[in-house]
Amino acid sequence: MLDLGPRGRALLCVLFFGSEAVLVATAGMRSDRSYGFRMFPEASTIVVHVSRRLDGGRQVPIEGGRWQAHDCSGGVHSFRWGEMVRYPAPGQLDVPVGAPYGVESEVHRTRDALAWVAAHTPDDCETRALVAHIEPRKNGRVVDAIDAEVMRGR
Amino acid sequence: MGVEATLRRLRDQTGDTSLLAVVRVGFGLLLLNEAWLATQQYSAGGYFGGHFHQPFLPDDLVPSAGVYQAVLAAQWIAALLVVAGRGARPALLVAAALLVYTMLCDRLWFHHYRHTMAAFSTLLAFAPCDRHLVLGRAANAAKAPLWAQSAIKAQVSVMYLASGGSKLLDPEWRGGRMMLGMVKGLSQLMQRNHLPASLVAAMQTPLGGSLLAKSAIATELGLAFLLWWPPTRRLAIWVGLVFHLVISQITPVKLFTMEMLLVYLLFATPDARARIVRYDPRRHSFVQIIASLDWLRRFELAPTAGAAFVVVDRGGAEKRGLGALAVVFGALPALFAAWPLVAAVAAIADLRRGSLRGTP
Repeated sequence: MLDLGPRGRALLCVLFFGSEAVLVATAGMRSDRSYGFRMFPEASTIVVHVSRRLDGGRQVPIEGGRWQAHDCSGGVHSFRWGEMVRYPAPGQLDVPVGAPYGVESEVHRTRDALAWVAAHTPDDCETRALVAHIEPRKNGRVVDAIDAEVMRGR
Repeated sequence: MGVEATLRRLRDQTGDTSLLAVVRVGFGLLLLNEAWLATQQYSAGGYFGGHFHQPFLPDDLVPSAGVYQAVLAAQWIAALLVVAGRGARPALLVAAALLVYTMLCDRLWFHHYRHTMAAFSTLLAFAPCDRHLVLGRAANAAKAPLWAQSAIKAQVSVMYLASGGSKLLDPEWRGGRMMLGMVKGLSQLMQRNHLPASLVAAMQTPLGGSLLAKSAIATELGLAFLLWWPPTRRLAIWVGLVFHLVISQITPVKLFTMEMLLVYLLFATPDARARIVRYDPRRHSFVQIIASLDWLRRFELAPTAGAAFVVVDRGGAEKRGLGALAVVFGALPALFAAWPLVAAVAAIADLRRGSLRGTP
């Protein structure tokens, strides 16, 4: 089956390289530019600060990547950001982390990580939303900070 | 020759398949390494779905922990079959599909080298790469279709064009800003890899960053074409070899370098035993080194008592001394990095001899 005749060879090459051309041409539409062979796209970093928005709108920063919160029955639980979000996603908060696939990719990862943590911490009955303040440096140059907020389902 | 005729020739070409087998075993080992990395990550960090992951696919298509264990087992089995050469070609397809599937289940698992490995493995599956180096089976030396080998080589050019082209279109890249940032970030690694501090410092200047960036772009775009053109192919292979070795010295990228060096073998002209080494076995014991490094079977050894050391190159020219060494360095992969130096010294020595002969 893998020993193709002349027509099969031509067809496979058209399919393979045609798909590849589409992936290369559309790489810019994906935040990580994946499948486009864009090697070493940036030498960038981001610093992610995450805080919790509580009842009444008060914002409490997550320090050292840890926080404690009560569940809905009053029990206290500890949470660690770095246990839920791991490298190459921004698993460390408040320190520069590499963005080898570019700032846009790392910001995308941060937003998705916020959403994942918000959805997977049912024992935190205090936090209404997770808020990220992202400070990017694109190729060593400071660019505008980005804020993201994810509401938690109740 | 027109484009259509060239494409037909590439489609219908047949030839020796031993290099494809070497590349298959190399990719099998890299696939084994992938299976090991995934298993290690699973044992140390647990199932990827248990912490933040970023699927491209809908959640329903992301495997459960149990199914993922089966995926890992399949990765191991496929990689072992590729190395052994038994069922290697379907196994290459399975291994490539599993690599792509796992990257689609978690974008955090995406790396260019994994994508590249999947692409090369897919094309290699359509090549007769299972006729040599097969566990428990004698080699089949018959000629076979090489169109998929040409497709792998075309894939190399596509990658260089896409990579070099995207860098050329990015003003920060072609201006050197990205390179400057990368060198600054990796300067400690470079010094650990024994690069001179003065060189690392020079690379961190705006001029150094700009030159590095433009060289990288020119190298990638140039290689995409020069690897195909017979008069420049050998030099292009050497430039590519140095390019990838430098990348592996100044960045943590190692597996990508291995992949590229493996597929570079396919650009070598398939000419087993096309060169002859005539030597005296009692005086020229160093020929054993040539024999042990001749992984591509490029030399026919002709021991003759009392013979001078002579290498007959592919074109039939007899070479002695430095000229003979240049042929040896140009044909053995392990010595190839030093080939231009030896060839240049041999050429200079030839010129000097010629000018001395011309002196009245």
